[in-house]
Amino acid sequence: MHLPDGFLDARTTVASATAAAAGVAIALRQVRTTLEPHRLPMLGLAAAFVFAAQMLNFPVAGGTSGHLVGGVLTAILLGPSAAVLVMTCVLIVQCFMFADGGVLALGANVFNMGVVNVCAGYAVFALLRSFTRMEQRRSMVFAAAFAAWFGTVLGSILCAGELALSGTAPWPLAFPAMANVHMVIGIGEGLATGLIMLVVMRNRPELLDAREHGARASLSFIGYGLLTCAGLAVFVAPFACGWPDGLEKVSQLLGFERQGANAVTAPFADYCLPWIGSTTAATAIAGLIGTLLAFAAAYLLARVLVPALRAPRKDAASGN
Amino acid sequence: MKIAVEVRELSYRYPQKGAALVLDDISFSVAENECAAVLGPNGAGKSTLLLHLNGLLPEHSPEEATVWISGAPLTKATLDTIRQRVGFLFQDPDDQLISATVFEDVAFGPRQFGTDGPDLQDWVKHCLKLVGLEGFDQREPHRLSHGEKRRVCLAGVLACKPSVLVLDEPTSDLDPRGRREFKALLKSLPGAKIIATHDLELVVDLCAKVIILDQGKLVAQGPAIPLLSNEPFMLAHGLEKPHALLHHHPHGPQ
Amino acid sequence: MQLPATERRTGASVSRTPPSIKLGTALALVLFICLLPRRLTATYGIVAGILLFLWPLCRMPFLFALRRLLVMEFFIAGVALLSLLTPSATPVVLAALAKSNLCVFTMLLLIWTTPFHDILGQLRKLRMPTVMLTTLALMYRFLPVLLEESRRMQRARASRTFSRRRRLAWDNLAAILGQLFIRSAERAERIYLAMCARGWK
Repeated sequence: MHLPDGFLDARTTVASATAAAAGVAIALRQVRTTLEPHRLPMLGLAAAFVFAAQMLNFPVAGGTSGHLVGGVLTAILLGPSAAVLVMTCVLIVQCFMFADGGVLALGANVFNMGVVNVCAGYAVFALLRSFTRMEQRRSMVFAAAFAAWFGTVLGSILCAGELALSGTAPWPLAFPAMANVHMVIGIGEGLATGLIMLVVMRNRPELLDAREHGARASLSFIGYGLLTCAGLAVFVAPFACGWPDGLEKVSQLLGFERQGANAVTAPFADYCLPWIGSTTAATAIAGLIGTLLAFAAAYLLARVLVPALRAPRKDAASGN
Repeated sequence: MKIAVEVRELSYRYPQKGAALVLDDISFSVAENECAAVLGPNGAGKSTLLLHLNGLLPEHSPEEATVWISGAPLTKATLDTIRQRVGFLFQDPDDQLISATVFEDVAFGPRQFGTDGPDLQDWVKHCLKLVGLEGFDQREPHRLSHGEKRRVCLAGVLACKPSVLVLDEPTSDLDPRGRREFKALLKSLPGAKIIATHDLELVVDLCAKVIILDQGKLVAQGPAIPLLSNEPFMLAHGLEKPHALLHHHPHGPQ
Repeated sequence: MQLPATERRTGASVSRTPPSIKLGTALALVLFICLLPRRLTATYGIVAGILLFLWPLCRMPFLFALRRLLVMEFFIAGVALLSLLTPSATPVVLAALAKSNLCVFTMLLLIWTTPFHDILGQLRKLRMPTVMLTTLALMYRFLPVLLEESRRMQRARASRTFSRRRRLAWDNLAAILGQLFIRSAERAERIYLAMCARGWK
């Protein structure tokens, strides 16, 4: 899935590089503030481990073999921010030592495989773990396996979007091709991730306690979530199906379509920006603006509605 | 006298283009129940030679055999069957011990032959008893001492019922007691043994035959004591005369 | 996949050029190639000519370039296949094909003449964050160690594997990778102690 140079146009390269830089910046800030010094070499060793793991071949049907990408596995073992940095370093080395993945495409590759794959995968993992009622180990393995599959597929969809936005490959072909292929590849990734998790849990369960805690961690989760949504808005939403949705279809059938009127003139009607010619670019930017506005609105709503909890008063006498 | 291991005109070169010859036209044989030592300075090709004996090298199994185990040629087709006959003990036990418990590691081989259930339990216990580690079933490998790890590896190898044992530096990193105990253990095991080692005292005590390699070439093979006693020859090939032969050593041959 | 051996690069005058110039030239070339118009023009030929001229100067072996290019062609062919299904897109796809091959070739020339250590030095000058520089350096240092360790574990497992069942192969690989991670974590602790012992803060 490493995109070579020459497939993405200028604006997609810049957009994905910006998104990647933002993701790495969040990860750096998180790691700098919360990583204990004695765990710093672990990042380097983990990067070497991921690289070595990517070189091992898992036999698949009929003589072909696949290999682990390891983004979600690293996120579960080290925490998402450390994993973002590890995967970024792996991609940098692959680019500058093996020409595997382009230099200008590094932004897109880091965003797809280093940020979205890792963070969205980890989010799914955390979500599943809190929802399943299985025995602890089983839930870890299940959640890890599904999260790895999910991350792989999501990363590939973004990749298809980037290719389509650049005009290199048409969306109706790129999306199903990428998504279908990676849904299959993702099975292998999920399986391998689950099996490796099982081994680590059986031998050294304490290694899995490396989690990111605290308020700062929540902020970075928010940051990653925002980036992922923005990525989807910019790279995938422009290609959303133009066919009428449920209500529009019903209104067409029943004939009251034309009776809908806007009480307020929407600034970006139909996700179009009047001053940008290309509809795809316009939808992308409109989608991005919409995502940011929704985020801001939700944040303000929470600020206004939920009073801040006061910290418990310290007992002066006991000196706690 | 039946031949357990025969090697004929074995040469090997690394796959990279222009790589030097690592093994140059090696030929030797080891009889059933004979113990042979492979000696030589570092880089002579001892480990590389050993890896040919169970088909791990060359990377792509040859169509024409250069190794015969109990008379059967080692080719791509016979690889799996012959591999079971050759028990290989690696230098670093950590390379082999990747299972969660001692039991799991020893059971790994027999499980592939369909052994399971109470039969498997008994067999694993028997193999652990052979190496003096009764009761170690549920122990975790990373908590064992170096010598114990070595013995678990040996149990795991013996569990596959090999007819030939190949050992790569079995007594390196062991303390003197560990070395003595391992030596006694090896003595008690039947079958042909090929041992690559720097431990010359072990060779004097255990091995009837000696094969000396230097820079990939076989420079000598034959009965152990006369060869090892040839001090100028030993020194010329990066070795030395064992202490057991230098003086009339109480642990040496009489 | 073998790691490129740095000992192989000897003698070429290009190798002695400062790494900043090599890196800068490579990046400039890549940027130029990517900005070329989306249909094959004479400029593509000129760039190809420049690269062909540089090739013997860098003394890059043909097989090395071919192997890396082949690995890349799979992806390129995949994308090309998608796009060739819409005939109007053919010139765009051909241009993309040409661009990606030219870019990979440029990067291969860079890789052959510039050891990663030098590239790391340039990244340091470009003020890359310390965390990432340390990670990259440690990764580069310990990758061969981990690869060797995994190879030894694979060999040891293979010595006791007598059937070709896929399930067994997956279990073995998972066990090896799991152990590799655990040992990497332990090694990282030891590295930290060694670094502290020599005054690292």
